[in-house]
Amino acid sequence: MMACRAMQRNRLRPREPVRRVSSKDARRGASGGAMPFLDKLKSYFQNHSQLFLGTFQRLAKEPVQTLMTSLVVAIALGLPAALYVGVVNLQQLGSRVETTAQLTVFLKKDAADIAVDQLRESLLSEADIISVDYISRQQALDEFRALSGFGDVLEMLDENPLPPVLIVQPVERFHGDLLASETLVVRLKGLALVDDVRLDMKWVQRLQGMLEVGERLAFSLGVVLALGVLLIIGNTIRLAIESRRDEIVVVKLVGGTNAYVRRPFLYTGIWYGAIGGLLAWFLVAAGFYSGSMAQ
Amino acid sequence: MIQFDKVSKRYSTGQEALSGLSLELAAGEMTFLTGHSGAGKSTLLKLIMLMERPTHGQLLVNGKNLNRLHRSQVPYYRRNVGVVFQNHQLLFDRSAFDNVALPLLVSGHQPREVGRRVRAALDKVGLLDKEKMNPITLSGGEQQRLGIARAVVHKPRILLADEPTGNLDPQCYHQKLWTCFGSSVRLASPY
Repeated sequence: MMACRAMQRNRLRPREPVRRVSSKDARRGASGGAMPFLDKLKSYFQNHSQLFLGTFQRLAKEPVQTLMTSLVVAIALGLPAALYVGVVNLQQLGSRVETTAQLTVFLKKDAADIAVDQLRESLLSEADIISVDYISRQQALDEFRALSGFGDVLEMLDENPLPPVLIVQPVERFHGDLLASETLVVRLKGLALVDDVRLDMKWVQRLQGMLEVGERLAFSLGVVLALGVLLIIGNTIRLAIESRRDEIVVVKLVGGTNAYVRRPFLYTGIWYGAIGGLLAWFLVAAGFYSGSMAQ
Repeated sequence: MIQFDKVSKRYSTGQEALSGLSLELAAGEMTFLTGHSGAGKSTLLKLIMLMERPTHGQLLVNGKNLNRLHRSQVPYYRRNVGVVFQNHQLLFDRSAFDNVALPLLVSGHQPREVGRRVRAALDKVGLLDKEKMNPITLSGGEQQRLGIARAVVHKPRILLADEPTGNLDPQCYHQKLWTCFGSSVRLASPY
């Protein structure tokens, strides 16, 4: 099947005199693999720093593709981050009024000032109530105009649409006690002048509930998008591996370790992550900046 | 140095490339392997390179049983082997110099050392003046010589060449490193 013969013993030395570099090489003999440990360590770190820059240069050569992949990372990171920041901001707002059991009592629009004053006096005399603040229709209008920015719209209306309001502050035992506050609400609602009563605590609680849902949403969105980012980066790197298959084969054949082969791809991934992260940070920051400017 | 002991290789397709091959090569020996196409010459070479593992039998290189060599040790083993490939296996995204430098870079040589050794190897095959060129611009014979330079640059203890004569013009036969070529697979232990 196969003929195999030893032809000759040959030391494989060059026949002609060789240049100085080569003869110096020859004197060293077969020192192929043996190298000082320190040299190896040094070239290990050299390899890393070289790849750190080299992979970036490679990415910079294809700016459009790099930017697109980085943007995918940025959006996937930025969406849940923005949602989370928004939720946290609202939470801070909520925690400030969380414990107050303040009641907003909307009076009938045609309530006479004298009647309102009397109601206020009688409420103040109750043991359960510390303070009652009166906001007249005009005051409410001014405040609304100043805060909402819809002042011009209000000018177009024939009459002031806002009712007079009493802000009722109950004693401390009502704080956080929804049941006691509710009975107070019902009692106040029964009064002749009162149109409606809102319990601010209930609003806060509702807000809190919504925020919890928002937080959970941000978290689950984050998980899903993180998975998406992993898959996208994985796919991008896989394509890169596919396009550099020849190189991998050759490197492995000349004795490159798996770590050596893997290293450039890992660094490419690091760059995608870093650029994507920076872009995400920029997007979120820009989003909130423009948001606060609008306010 | 290289010892085949009743080595058989059967590919997953069922094709039996080698069956019960025994063969011994001493250090410093130069051996030519001939056989018709499909005889299993390349398979034998791949077994020494550990690109394939034998189905049966033992393969000892330098006293080490390659069957017992762990996968993580394969790269370090390969650094002692130089191969000239039939299809050159050159990389066209870098210069001739960088192609030859590859075996030195993967084993972590210092840049100064790399430069010196690569130029020495390129000089031996007569391509020193083309170190900056892309291999794709080189002729078939030059590519072949570049592959030879890459195979010897790290001073391997074993040198394998798969059909190395294909692209070489006759005068290359007498050039510096390579004195003559036999027909097909060549196994050589230069030291």
